[in-house]
Amino acid sequence: MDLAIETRGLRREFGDVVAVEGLDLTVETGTFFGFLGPNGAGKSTTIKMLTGLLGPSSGSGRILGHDVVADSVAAKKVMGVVPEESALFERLTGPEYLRFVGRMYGMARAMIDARSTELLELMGLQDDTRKLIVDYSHGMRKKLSISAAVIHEPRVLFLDEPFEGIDAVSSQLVRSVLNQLVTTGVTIFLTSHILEIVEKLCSHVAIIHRGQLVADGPLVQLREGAGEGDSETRSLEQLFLSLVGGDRLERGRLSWLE
Amino acid sequence: MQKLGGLIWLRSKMWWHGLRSRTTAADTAVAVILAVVAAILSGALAVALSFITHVGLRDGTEDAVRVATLVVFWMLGFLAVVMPVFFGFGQPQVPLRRLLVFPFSRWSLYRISLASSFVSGVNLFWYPVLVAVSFVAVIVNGAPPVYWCAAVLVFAVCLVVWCNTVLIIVQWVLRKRSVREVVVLVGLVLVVVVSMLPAMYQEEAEERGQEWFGSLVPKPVTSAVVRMAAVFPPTIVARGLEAAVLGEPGAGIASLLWLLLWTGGGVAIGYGIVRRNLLEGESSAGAQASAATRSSGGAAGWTIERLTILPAEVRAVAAKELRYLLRSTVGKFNLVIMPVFVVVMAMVVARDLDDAFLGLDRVSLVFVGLMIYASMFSNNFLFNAYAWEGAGVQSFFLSPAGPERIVFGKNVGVWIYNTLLGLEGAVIFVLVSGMPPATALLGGCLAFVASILSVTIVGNFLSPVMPVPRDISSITNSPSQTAVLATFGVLIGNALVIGSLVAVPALLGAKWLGPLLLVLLIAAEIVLYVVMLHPSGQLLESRRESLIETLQA
Repeated sequence: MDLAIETRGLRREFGDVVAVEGLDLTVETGTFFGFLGPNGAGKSTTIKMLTGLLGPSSGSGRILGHDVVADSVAAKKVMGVVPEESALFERLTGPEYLRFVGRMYGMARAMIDARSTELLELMGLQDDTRKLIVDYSHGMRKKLSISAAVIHEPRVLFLDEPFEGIDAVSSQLVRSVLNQLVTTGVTIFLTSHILEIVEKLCSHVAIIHRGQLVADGPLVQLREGAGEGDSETRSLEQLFLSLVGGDRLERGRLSWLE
Repeated sequence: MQKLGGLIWLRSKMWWHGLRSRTTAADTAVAVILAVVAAILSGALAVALSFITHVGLRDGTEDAVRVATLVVFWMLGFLAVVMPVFFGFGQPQVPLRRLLVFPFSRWSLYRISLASSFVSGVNLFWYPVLVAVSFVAVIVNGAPPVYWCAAVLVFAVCLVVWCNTVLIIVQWVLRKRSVREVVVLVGLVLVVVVSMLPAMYQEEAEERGQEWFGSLVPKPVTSAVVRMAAVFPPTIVARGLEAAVLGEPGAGIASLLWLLLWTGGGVAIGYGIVRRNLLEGESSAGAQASAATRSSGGAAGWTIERLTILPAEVRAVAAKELRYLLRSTVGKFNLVIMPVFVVVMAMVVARDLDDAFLGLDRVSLVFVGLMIYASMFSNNFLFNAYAWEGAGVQSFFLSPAGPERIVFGKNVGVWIYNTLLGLEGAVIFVLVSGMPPATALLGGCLAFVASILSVTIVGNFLSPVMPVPRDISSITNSPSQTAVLATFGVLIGNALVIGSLVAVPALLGAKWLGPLLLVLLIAAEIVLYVVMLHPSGQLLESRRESLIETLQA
């Protein structure tokens, strides 16, 4: 079994707050992996630790066998990242940013130009190639982030809320590209609040709640344990709500409206 | 009142949290000290100007009241109405757009912005001066206190109303980023050029034996300006106070009515823009977005791609850095203003210097000084190197490039930009003053390199430790106060060491020794730079989280 992502006791504290506590996670190569959790559960912190934006307080993480702290350069070479919030240089144009990213991964200029053109056309950004990113809309920025994350053919792709702010057509296009990537052996680690999308795309799912893993495994298996009824008809939403939202659902009414 | 109370509460909370989130306690202390200094300065200015007014009234002619108050009131008018535009770049105290989500009427929004103008820092600064000077000018001369109170109150309200209205107008006109940047750039260049013109013109006029102001500004123009000034509030209130002192109540009341008319006009224009235009989005300006936001600095990438001796990551970072510099307002401003500085240095400064000062002839001295000065244009880019990255700084840490390559790439970008500036200055200097001697030419260029290298070495350590986000569209720079102290030390050290290496051999008559010593200094600096690159990269890596947090904010 080849592991694309592996964490052992991964933990991160911010002062007195423990954002991620002892996370043990394994993701096999070529898996479309959904990483779910309510707001503040530790999803983005986990991704940031695995991609080198945050250092873990303790524990370890490995990407295709490379330790994300000790061998961070090798780990970063094989991954692409779409962060939750824009991480773009706003005073560059879209093509300039893609060229910057391509060069940082050591790609030849001709290849960068060819792939940039294709990606920008796919994302519908081809008419804004001379516009600075600062003048892009939220959705355009997200599409450019996705383009930058895949331009260098990463083996592991981290996507933190990639569909947020993207129109339906682009969303469909991105989904088909992601599926294409998985068929070529790329591992995708996705977080999204849109459970329907996760359900359609991911074969494996993990759910994190208050920094701890509360479910992990193939989606089909998790559905089976989700409650009553046929496992085929049980939705991921039911599973999710039963694991992380039960207590709050009972209080789902406003007193002054009764 | 509840709405206003809510906003004051919000403002105070934001201010308090802003203090808490400052990077160091030192910065907070400095901010408080600056506020105290401003208060002391305001009081001192009020005392000084009222004393001058008192002396002027005692020893002056009949129209002394009007002359004394006229000068002060015009100064206050400039301070109240023009300065907030320059320092705040048209940003009002309260960003009205953010309040649109609340159920406020347009009139409420206007009143909120007006109320905030009354307590803005600039306006708080001049209130004591207005009260003190007008008190000395009027009450001491026996005018009725009621009229003094009314005149001061109406004039203050009038200035604040127009301060707010001008900010609203500027915000409306400059609501598009690209237009704002162009206007700021052109405005600053104009201010610098116009402020230097009298000095340059004076030189020429004195040589021809003319009185410079008289020859520069023809009499019909000055009298027309004086006539026009008579209808503006500072002149109106000065005339009103003079009338009160002379016991002419009719003229005094007429002045008050004119001031009220001006105030009403300011309210009408300000509110009119808020009601009809300001809050209606950017549709009209946005229609030209694609044309107006065309990117500049595209050649930067092409230029750096040719430097194949450098690793690809270094070239990528350097190209990005150079593009940022060429697209920033301050980066463009430096390139535009450099010729003006060179001409002024060549024409004005050089004429006032004696020959053979510090062992160098006039042209050599000015050239060496110019090159050292040109090297300082990039100090802020090197001492606060990540100021413009914003959330984009994450791109550095997500990439597989080692941190020292990122540091090196950023340095290369700034060096290329600064070399462009130096070349521009040198070429224009040669065109204006002629070619300096070979030793001065070489010495100037070597001093330029030595100065940049020393700043770079220190800046590489300072930048990740004390990053301060900076608006790329703004000309103002507000680095960490501690960083300012550190950079000041480096600049003094630079001036002493490099200046000595240039001047001492020249004084001893060994002109070639200077360049030789500078070459040795540069060699030592290069060794130090290479040795320090790895630690500075490690420092960047260790400061990764705080850097992202600070720059994203």
